[in-house]
Amino acid sequence: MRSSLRTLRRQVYIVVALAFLAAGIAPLIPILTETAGATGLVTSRSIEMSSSLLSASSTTYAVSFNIATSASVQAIILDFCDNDPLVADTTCTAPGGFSLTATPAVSGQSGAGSCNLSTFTTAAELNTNRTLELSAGSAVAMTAGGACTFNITTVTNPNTANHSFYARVYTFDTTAHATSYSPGVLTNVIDDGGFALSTASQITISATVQETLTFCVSGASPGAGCSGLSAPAVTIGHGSPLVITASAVDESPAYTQVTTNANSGVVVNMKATNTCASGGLSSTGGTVCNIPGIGNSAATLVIGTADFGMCVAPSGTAVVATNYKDTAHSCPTTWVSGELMGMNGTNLIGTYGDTIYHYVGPVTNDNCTLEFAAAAAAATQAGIYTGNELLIATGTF
Amino acid sequence: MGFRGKISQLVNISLFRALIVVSVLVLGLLLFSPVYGDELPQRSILMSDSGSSANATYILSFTIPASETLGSIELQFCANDPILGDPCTALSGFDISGAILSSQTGETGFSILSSGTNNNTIVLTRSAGLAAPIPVSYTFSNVINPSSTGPFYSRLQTFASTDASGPENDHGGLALSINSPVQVSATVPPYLLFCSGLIISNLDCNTASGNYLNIGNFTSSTTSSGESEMLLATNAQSGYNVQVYGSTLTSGNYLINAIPSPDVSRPDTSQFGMNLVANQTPAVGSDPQGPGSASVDAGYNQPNFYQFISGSTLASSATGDNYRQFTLSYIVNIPSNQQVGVYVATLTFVSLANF
Repeated sequence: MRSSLRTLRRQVYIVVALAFLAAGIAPLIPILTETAGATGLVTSRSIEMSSSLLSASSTTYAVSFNIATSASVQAIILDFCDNDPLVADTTCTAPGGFSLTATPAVSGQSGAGSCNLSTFTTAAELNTNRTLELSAGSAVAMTAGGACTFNITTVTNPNTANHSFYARVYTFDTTAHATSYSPGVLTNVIDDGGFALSTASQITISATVQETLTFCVSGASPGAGCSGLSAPAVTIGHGSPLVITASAVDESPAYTQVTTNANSGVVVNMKATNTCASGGLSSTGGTVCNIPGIGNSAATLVIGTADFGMCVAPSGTAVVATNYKDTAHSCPTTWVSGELMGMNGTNLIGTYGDTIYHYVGPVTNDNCTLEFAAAAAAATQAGIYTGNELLIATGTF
Repeated sequence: MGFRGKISQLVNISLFRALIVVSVLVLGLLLFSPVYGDELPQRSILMSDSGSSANATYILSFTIPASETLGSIELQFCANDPILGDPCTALSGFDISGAILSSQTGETGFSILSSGTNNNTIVLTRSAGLAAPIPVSYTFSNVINPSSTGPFYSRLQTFASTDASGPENDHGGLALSINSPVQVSATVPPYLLFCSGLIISNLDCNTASGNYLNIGNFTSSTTSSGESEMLLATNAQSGYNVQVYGSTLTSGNYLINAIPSPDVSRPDTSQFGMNLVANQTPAVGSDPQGPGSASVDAGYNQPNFYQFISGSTLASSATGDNYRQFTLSYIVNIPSNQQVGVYVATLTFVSLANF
């Protein structure tokens, strides 16, 4: 008795299982029949989105597929569904927020060839902006393998990020058959196929570039990154020990280097700490300069005349101020007659000094050589003459 | 409840606590993350002095990017970077707490908000008002620079509030640099250029030649004369003088009298004298030449008057002097009874420079 009941229960289970199996397969039957029989499956099919951002409007969808069946085609249906890409499915749920717009626009149709869509210029929407119907005035013969392409330029993406959605494409023999399309209602479909698409979250990348200004002053020519610096102590003279006399003009360099990302560049000012009006060299603490600055405009030092001057030799993009520019000789390392130098005392002793050069934009490891020159007159008082020249770099960001 | 149940309960409690912590953190970030406005364009700080620890004046300049309500400006200086929101490392030695707002252009009416100002930060305040999109500048004096060389940074923010609180309007970073000054030195060595000879050309001692002046044969009726030259220059701060030492013309025990005070030439008398100017009686000598300004001293500076006093000063300059060439004119007169002989005088010139 118990064995009979067990057998009966097993049979009931089997029947129920078969019923569920049948219910599950049933929706697939049309697919299997259509795909295998009446229609061809378009190949190499893809839809490229110009933007995967959710709700992006005026997005262009570049549609492409290859004809499977050689036949005359007058219309194409492209239906966008949220549920699946199954061409025989009788349901198609519109992706949330998706729209072709009421007047979808199509461009870039493939031209002469095995899939000539050049006459497929009538674009219309079906199913409340979900479905595109693209049709021609008359049927066009298509050849199997023909590459069909066209762009839909008026698409608004679904409104959910990282969301998969689908499209189904059908080719019809007539526009009337295409117009009669609804999911699962397929009259004289020639080819069909499914697509999968997805929106994606936009990645926001941020990075901070901090303002930089590296400015160094050195007695030796700096290497990259202001390396290899030495104290900017400039001793002008000739012989041993170094002296200046009425018989020569002597010259000695200091160096600067600027690196900055200042968008509007950098201005470099020089300011004299000697308070004498000429901005010259003093042996008496700065108030009296027996070796005076050469003047407010560029001039040449003369042997036997006490003067102090400076010119700038740029190595890169520095723009040298007129007063400190020696165009004819490029401010050489050894003094030459006629070399132009400046020492604008009026500005040098001003609050912010005198501009000697500047850059118009960002610059990297740009060196300038400041050639300081001095000469003594026969009557220039004996002594040790000094001057401290502050160099002030101001970046405008 | 079994062992598995207790474990499950513990896990659930832990997850719940973790969820609360994460929620609080996220909420905190949402509530307290600063919201930044636009970058302030054309921003710069011009320093009057780039030396370490210097008392400097800073001019802060920038452009207000768009019309906005402006009530305060905060400027913070940091050693590490100009990035807002980053911890600010204090600058060693830097002090803006005693700064004075000495001038302002563009949007004006600001004063320093003492409650928001400290060693590294200064806040400007005014009654909040609509600011135009224009360049502005604020000058701060009495700012003490950082005590070490190298770059340092500033963070600038504008606010609608009057105390730099609440959401900012705009912001921007700045980079500045402290540097050692270029120390220029040159040594002018002391010198005294001094030479003598019968002839010196082109103010050049290298051309000096001759040290024996033969005045010729003396006669009682005619004044005998001769010339020598000397060239001097010095950078001695207190100048120089040149003196003459020696004796009058002698020949054995015989002599020709030195002129003890300036006097004209008197033939048929015993006279030996000199001066350093151009003369007509007799026509001898020249005035000093050259770019220097040293002058002939009294006793030797009057044309046609001569004297000779050993140890007396011939010429001098109160300051360092450029090349100055002197012509020394000698005259000799003898009486008719002057003893025969070869008369010789050796003169030594000594120059003393006072550095």
